[in-house]
Amino acid sequence: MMKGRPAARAAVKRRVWVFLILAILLVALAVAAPALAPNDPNRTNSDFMKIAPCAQFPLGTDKLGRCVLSRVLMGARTSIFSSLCVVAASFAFGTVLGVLCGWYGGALDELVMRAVDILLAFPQMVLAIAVAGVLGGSLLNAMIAMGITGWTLYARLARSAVLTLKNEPFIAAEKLSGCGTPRLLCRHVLPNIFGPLLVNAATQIGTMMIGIAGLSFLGIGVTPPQAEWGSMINEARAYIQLAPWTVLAPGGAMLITVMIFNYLGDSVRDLMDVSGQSHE
Amino acid sequence: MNDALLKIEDLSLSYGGGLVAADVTFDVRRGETLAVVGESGCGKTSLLKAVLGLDGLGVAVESGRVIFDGRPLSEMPKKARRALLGGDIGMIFQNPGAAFNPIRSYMKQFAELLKSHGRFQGESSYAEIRECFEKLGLPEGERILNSCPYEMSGGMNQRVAIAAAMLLRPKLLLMDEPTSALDVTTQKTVLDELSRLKELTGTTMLFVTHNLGAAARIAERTAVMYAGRLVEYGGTQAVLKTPCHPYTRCLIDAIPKLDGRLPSGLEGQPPLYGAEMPGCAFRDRCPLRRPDCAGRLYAQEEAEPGHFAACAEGRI
Amino acid sequence: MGRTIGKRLLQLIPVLLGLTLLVYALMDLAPGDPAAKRLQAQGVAVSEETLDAAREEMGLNRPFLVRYGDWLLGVLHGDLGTSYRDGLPVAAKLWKGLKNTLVLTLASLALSVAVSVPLGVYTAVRQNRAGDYVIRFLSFVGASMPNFLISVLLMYFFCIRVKIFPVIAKSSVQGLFLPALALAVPLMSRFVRQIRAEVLEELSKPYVAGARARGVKERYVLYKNVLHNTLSAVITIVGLSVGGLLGGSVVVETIFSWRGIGKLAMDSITARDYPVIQGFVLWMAVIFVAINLATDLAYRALDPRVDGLEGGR
Repeated sequence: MMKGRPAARAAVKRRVWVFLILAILLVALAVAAPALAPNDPNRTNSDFMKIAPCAQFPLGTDKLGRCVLSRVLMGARTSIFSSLCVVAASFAFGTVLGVLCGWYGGALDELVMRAVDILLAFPQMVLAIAVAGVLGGSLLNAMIAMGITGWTLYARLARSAVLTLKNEPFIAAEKLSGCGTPRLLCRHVLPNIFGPLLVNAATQIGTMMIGIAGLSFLGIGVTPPQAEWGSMINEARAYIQLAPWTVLAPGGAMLITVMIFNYLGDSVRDLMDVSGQSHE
Repeated sequence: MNDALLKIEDLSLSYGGGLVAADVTFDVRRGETLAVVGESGCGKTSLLKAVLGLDGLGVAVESGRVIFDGRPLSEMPKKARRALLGGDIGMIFQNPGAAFNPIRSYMKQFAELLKSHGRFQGESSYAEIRECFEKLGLPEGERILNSCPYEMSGGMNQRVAIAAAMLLRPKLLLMDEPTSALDVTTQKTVLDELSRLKELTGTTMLFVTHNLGAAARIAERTAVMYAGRLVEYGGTQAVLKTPCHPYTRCLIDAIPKLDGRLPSGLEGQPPLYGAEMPGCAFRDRCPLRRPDCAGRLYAQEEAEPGHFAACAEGRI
Repeated sequence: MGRTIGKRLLQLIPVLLGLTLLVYALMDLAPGDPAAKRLQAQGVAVSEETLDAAREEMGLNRPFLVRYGDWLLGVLHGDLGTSYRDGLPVAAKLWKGLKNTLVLTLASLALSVAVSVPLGVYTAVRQNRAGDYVIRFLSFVGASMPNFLISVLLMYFFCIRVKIFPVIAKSSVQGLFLPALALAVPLMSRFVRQIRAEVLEELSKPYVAGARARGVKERYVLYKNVLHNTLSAVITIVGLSVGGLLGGSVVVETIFSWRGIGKLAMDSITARDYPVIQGFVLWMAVIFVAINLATDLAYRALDPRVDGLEGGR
């Protein structure tokens, strides 16, 4: 078909680059947040409460007089880093576990797959809410709550990819030539299963971000006064009529960030489709 | 003068960016069956798609005309062109399992077909369908109607597809290698049914195939294509017994014969977009090639009345 | 088919055991003393004696496994215990909340399907034209917005700015609309894209060209054939999104004060009302598995080629 032709591939590659660069810019923004913030995000100011955007406070202030722009920037830091962290941890943990299950099978496989079944037998967000609520409000607990189910898809994907790969002739050939198991796994198995796992990771970032923000919104994630988009929106909704920018600013920032990561995930998926899976 | 139902005039077609057919000219007379034979990729299927004219088949007309029943198809508005499908022009596809929706019963799909052509009359239509099946030698029409395509064999599905196409009594029936996907026994059955169809209805048929035997069985005239160009055409017996073009000679020599002669294979592959080549595209594989073949332009010359060839070197 | 149902139900048991054990253990490890919370809710002063008495009454002094076993035994007799907060039977509270949530969930599902199926078909048929791009962009935006943001914005525009709807949702159709819409927006957005992909794939299948070549009218091709074949995919998509809906309902119910099971769970978590939380986890798991099973069965009913074998893994 038309897929796989150089022109289509080049176009998709360009898209991946565009969104990758945008994502990196976001991360850079998050890293540089303390430097970029015009005011102290946690400094309250009883003289400047609920002020509309102006020169001193480019995005206005919230009910405690804190600079919204600064808080949005710091919130970017919290949201982006925490989601990247959770995704990275889930990716590592899930992939390793999945590869081991697929390769060795047996009791380990049974155990882990049952655990996955149990964790997935329950709507993910609800479990996260239950866990976070029970553990208490903090960013770490929110990350744990989201991570509890986050690794399962990687484990499943890695496992089934390894199962198919196990029977490939080239693996047998490598074994015969004396290649040790760890090397076999790292050098030959991992690179070939990377594709779909990467797609999943890219698309999961947005979900994680929304999840952590949601938990913070409900009060069982990040605790105030730490700046986080979800909790900012929750605090601000009581007086949205008086100061809509307090909701719109973090909301808009969240929307743009999630959209960029989602577009990134989408284009990575398109790239994998067009290149015909991961046999590079 | 037996007038032509379908006239192809200097038709050049492209598919996926390259020329797949160039300057093809022939006609199909009313009531006759014309076979178009050639290897895979010679452009014969693209010809059919161009006549059908559906979007999404990927074939684009670069130049030339297709004239059906006196009307130039390329100049007709899309709607009018689509209105021809089914009732005036019918088509049988190569893949028998794919012509119908695999998971819905034939009964429902036939009903839709008749309704689309304004000819559905409830029970009497089903009776008509069963009659059609019987005429074509399809047993147990009731059972077929109640089944879904995925439950039936390729051969049966193809025969049902032929029945469906014939139900609307089209003036022209296009067939894209209808027997290629079937086993040998079923091939014979289907060809027999097609012959019977011809006798019963006198439908004009354009039969595309790579099987010379099928062409011999069912077609009055045969056209041979190579790399997007028409290299020879005329009466089937004339073309197959006394071929003019070296390619036709090679094709025939490649068939195992009963008198013990070994087939002489034709080596190599046809060039991919051979229609774009100046000069004869067959020259690299031709056993009779001459130095000036690289620059030789195609022109159909009448070797004998009604028998045209683009090169007469293959004459025995 | 009976075998599948039986098998799934059997698989449910270890899942439920594992899940409830997990949550029970978590609650044990968690900060916050349910006895203290109970006393506070009752307005009793918290002291050493009152705490001990409360713990004794609530059976919190026993070892973990005994408590868990006790609870499990109760479940097998159909008794989910009583709420720490107000002493009402857990099952009754859950049931009341569940009814409200079901109404909300069904409403938003219906709304989503009603909007996304036509849009999905439209964008597939008019692929790569202006309408397609606009709708796809909007659905991308919708899918990227967290549902709490949508809820807050909806509330702002329709309750405060324009004052069509009341701020506190009454359990009526009018009160239902906004929360259902809030839940439906992310759902619709995802559905449109998935349905579009399914329809596009279906349209590229050979039988579509075959039908058109026979002169079958386009609307028969689209509605009776393409849509019929994609119905099974639509059902799967809908079934798979129930999990997200149940999770999303917690947030939406809290914001719109819709007295559903999600809000109940949220309140119980804050109040450390363990029996309710346990019961909630149990019910949710059962419901979730049941819906997955139903989706699977529906899928098989629509596509007769799929026989009784377990697909997927």
